[in-house]
Amino acid sequence: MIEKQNPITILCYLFFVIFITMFSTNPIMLGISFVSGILLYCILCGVKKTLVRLGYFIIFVAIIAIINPIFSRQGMTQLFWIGEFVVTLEALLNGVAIGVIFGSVIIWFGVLNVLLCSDKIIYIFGKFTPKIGTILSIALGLFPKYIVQYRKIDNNLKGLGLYDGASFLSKVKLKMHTLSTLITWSVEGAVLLSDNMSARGYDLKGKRVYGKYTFGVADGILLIVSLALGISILVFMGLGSGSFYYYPTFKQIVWDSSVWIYFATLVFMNILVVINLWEGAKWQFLKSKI
Amino acid sequence: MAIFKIENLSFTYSGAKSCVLQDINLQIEEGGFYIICGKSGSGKSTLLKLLKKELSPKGNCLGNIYYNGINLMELDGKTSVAEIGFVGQDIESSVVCDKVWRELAFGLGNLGYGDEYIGARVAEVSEYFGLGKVYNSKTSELSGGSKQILAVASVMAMYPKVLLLDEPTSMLDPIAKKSFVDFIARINKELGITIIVVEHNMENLFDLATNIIVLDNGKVVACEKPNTLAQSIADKHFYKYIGLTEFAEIFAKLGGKGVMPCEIKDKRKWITDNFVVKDTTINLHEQTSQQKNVVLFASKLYFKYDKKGADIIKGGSINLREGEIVCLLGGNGGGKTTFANLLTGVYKPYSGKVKKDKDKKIAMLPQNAKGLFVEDTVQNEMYATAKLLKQDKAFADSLVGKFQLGNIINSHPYDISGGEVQRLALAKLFLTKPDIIILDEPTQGMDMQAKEYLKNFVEQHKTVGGSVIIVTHDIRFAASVADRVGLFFDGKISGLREAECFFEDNSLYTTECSILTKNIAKGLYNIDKVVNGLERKPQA
Repeated sequence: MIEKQNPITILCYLFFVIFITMFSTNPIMLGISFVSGILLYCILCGVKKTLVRLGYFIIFVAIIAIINPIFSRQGMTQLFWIGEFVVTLEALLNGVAIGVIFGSVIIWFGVLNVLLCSDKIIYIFGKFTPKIGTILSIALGLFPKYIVQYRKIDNNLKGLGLYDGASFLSKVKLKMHTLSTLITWSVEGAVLLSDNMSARGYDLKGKRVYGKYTFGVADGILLIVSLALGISILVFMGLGSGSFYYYPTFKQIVWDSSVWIYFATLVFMNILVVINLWEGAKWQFLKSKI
Repeated sequence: MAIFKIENLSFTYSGAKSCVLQDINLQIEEGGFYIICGKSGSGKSTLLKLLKKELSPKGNCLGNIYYNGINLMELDGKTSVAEIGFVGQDIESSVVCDKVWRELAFGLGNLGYGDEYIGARVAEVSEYFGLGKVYNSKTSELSGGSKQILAVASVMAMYPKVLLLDEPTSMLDPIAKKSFVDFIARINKELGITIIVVEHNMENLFDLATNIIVLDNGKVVACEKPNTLAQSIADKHFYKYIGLTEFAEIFAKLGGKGVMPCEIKDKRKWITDNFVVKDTTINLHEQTSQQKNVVLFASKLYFKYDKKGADIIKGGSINLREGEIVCLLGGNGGGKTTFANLLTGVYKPYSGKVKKDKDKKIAMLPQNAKGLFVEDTVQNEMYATAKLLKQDKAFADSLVGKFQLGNIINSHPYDISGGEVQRLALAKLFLTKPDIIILDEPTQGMDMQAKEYLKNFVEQHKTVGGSVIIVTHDIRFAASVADRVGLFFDGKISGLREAECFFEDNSLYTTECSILTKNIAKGLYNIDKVVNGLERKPQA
């Protein structure tokens, strides 16, 4: 349901979410980002895919948590010694935090990948520079053509009986031959393609790229909210609100004015989740009336 | 009013000595359906491209072209792009974008229209041409025929006044060809858009055209209505070069005079009124090939691409004898090419066996061989393949002579005509010294000369004891060469029989000749047999 939002709004929103996640060290902020990311991903892609992603996430966090103490020997709470290395609780948890930052960013990029399919990326580029938008679209159309043609050329060489009893080296040579044939073919195709494009006015000035997406009131609201909340959260983070450190030992989390920044982040990162759930509920309600 | 007026047009390519077009004067009327035909190199494509400013070839152009009274060179860029639509023959490059909807919007976006306006136009075009189902699809998932239709639809979105089509169907199979032709006819008849098509094979377009322009050596030699064309070109033997319908060719060859009949009953009447069958005891079922050795035998082959997928070949069997031409007919996607690949050993069947005479070599000529060349000249192309096959250069040179490639030896393989591409591909094939050759859709996109060459070639290969399997949609070609014919359907060959029996017994899937002469005589299933089998009635 979020798919119908204008891609530029979505991109702007996700940009702020990812930016905030990248600069957070506070476990509460990271927790909010991670849980909201997973929740949204689950809504978009289903439980099965989310569990797979969660599995990778845990492995990723574990690896960084193990690696971090090797390079960082700071921290006051000694856990144990490995040879001459001391492993501290602070270094271990700092590793977990770094892992969660990267993991959450990857999850949010996963969301971005789902929400901004190639169509929407081309739309975003097309609105700013129509040439790049068109070139992206052409490039995406070319790859499948090349794969089909590669198989054709390969089968032709097989049909000539060239692969029968050929050694490994001559097989490699044949593959090279196939590849250079493909390149010749694609260059020729490019000439014809550019003819076709100029026949349809690609050389004219003032071109635009058509996008199926409109910019509605909902997009406007979401865009303003993203900008306002995103920027203010970043500014307050810069001013030290919700700051956190691991060394020499953890900063105490106190429930002072920085509570507001947690709350703001929680709201901000779950806007899409709320929109989605709200529309889902509305749909269920309307369905029950039919 | 004339939409195009061409006055004393002559054209010479820069760097060339002789001119391609000479003193052309033509008037293209609005709403007409024009076919420009002629053999390869007659200048027909050049003439068409000169009508589209953006594609005008470089060279020396004399004379004037007027579009709606305005000199084409002075025509505003946007008007030229929007009102004069052009679609070329190469399917792969006729589609630009990755998605169907973006393709439809491409031209309009270039013209600078806004989203809302483009949205409305694109919706209109896809609804009118029935593209709704594929609207959100990737263009790479479309079949060749649908891609060509999309290419024309994308041009139609710009509301053109005239459509220029450069051999638009030459890479399509007959069924896709037919639906493309119907599609073009609809644009012409329902919307009154002027259509100018360059074609070397007019078989499908013949009955739709309002005018046919024949070019030869850069000059207009005929500009006629279809039903009077056959008579006017009969004396000049142009039917050898331009693909006519079977009946038009018979009409021309038998020296028909006046207006050619259009309806099947009139055609039959014309034959029975003017001609009698020479020999009523034509011997059917000459089964001399029965005694010859079987060189290739396949029984009950099964094949599929995916483990979980459906079988593509379901019990395909064939037996090929020495000195025999077998044609396999059938629609697209029926697995004919896959079956041929099983016979050559490119794919292996998961059940069933292919047995081949040990002394015989087998080789296959693929479809659209153009994309398989890699070198910069024809000669280097031959040498490179010879090297791969460990043959010497002298043998390669002898094949250059055999396949009449001498005069294009230094040309780039991408610059030579369709017929020459095929001869080069055949020459490369013969570097393997094959006894059994399999030709996959060899007549697709070929002009009449190339088809004639191919016919002579396979017949010659047969006389030296070679065997040929031709996989084709082209019933007419199959009827002209085949000893035995089978219909490839539902993953196997059904009814592989002598050509006479196949075409005589089939009432639907058969040649126009066979349908025309069904009630007159037996065994007249191809043009040669009809022309030789009939004689003019003595004048009363």
